[in-house]
Amino acid sequence: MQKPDGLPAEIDLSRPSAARVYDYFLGGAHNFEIDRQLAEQIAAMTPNLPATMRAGREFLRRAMRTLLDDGIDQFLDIGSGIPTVGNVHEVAQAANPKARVVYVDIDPVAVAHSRELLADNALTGVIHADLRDPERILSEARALELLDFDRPLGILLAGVVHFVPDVDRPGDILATLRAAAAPGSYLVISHSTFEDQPQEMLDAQRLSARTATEITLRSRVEITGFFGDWTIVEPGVVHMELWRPDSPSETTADGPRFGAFGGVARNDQTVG
Amino acid sequence: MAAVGDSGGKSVDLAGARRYAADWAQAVHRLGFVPLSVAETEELLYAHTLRLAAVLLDTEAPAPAVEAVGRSLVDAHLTEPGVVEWSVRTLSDRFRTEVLADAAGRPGLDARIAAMQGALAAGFARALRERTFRQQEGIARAMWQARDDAEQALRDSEARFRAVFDGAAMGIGIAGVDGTIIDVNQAFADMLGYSVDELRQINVASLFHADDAAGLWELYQELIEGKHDAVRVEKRYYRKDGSAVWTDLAVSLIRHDDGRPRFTVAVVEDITERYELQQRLRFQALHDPLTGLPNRTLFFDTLSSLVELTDPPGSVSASSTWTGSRRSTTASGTPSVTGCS
Repeated sequence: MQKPDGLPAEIDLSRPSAARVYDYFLGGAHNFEIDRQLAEQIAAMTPNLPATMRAGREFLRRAMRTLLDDGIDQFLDIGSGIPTVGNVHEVAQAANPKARVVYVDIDPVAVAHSRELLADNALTGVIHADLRDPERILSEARALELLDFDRPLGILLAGVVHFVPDVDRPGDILATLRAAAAPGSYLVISHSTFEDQPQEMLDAQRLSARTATEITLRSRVEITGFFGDWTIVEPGVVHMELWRPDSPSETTADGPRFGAFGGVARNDQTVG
Repeated sequence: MAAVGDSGGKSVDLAGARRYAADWAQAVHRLGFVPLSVAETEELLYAHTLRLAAVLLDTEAPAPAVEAVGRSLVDAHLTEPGVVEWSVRTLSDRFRTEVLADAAGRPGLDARIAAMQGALAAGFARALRERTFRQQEGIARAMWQARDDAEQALRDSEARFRAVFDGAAMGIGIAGVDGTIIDVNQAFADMLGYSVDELRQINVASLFHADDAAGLWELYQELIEGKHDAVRVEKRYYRKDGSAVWTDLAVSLIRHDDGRPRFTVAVVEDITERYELQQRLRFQALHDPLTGLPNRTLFFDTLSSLVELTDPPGSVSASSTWTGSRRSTTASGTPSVTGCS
């Protein structure tokens, strides 16, 4: 349900939050009993989900490395959640102390926590907004005057687009975000999929999705479509752990363990 | 074999230390989320391996240095319980054989290793506890902050609404879908000649009248059934003292989050003066000021409308009287309906 502008969503302490459940799976203590209960329930139903979440975070780190190596020094991280460990600004500013990061999340608690954590970091900003309202994200990001949309930037959508059901037209949302990014910009997406997954895993994932925020599993083709006409960099849209692994030992021989694809694309269009 | 000697002739097997650190890094990556790459983790743990080896070969008390290693594991987010298990367990078996160049026959090594294991676990546990406290406090504070923000925004919103509600020149009334009036502002009460408290006892239905424009009641019913989001009409109300007041009435529907109708909000403007002025002007335009009789304009007006009606010719059926015809068609206005979800 749409809330009137300026009115934050209710803070319901009796309900688990996806951001805090995620934090728990990453070994953080930014969570409450209700979140841990749900996390354990999810882990019991889908034993590889915690590992998938960790793999997602590792994919993001490796993708960030690629962007940083290509000189990207400003990032828009949408669906950033609770900055547990290995955050985008930590990774970015370790490589380039002048790197700028704007975090966006829909969870008011995650936003409040991010603001407090980043209060002393002048090169970071936090926006409370919904991915389904990309115009608002972009206008608020511009208002912060941290990111220069005339220069290449990295748009990070790690494990968040699958929270947008088809009825909310994720393709249009992605198109809006891409249109705002200058040539040379990058788009990083990781997204849950039903492809190459055993049936019992899918059943369990659907079940688990019902208890938390609904997740829309999508095909590789659909996820590839989110990159639009941008150039998808090697090795393409692949299972996350196969995307430029640090070392062969990080990949598994027995096929994809994690039900999510990851990909990175670059805006190679010329100006005008 | 790459080995370095220190002052006491004791030595560390660097290749062994490297191997040990690599396995350590693999283990922590297997156990939980690590924000570093395997290579970065290995570098970090290689430094720790050398530090542990130095303490083991030293004669000083191991506690501060080894506790620091335990703490720095937590600082690097290597916080899975399995990490400390692996680190403590391997210290007493493969660490001594792989990392030390000449472990065999060294006296007192077992006791020293045991002390180091204790210190490593203690340092890890202490740091983990502090980190947990810190994060728990952080997230709790964030939650209160978010809640305060939400409440503040609600209070601000409520205050803005109150200012508009209380200060508006127009009458504003809020009613439940059962017609119970929940709240009205002073302007609304004044318009109808009741007190605010009196109006709160009244049902919306009792404000409707038989001489309301046709379909008005039906429109209202459709609104509270959720078929429309807003209705706008000109409607006559009767004040408490029985006199009539003409109003421009806009009623909007407020829904529950799931779309069910919840409240109606009526905004009412008193247009009696405007309405009466219009009537007077019209009367003056159409009647002789001296005699008060219908004038030429009214005659031709009526004639032309009769001609329009007489199609086909010969079937004159106008029933309107000279003075009353216009009023009944314009007074009630045409109800307009907006928005239908």
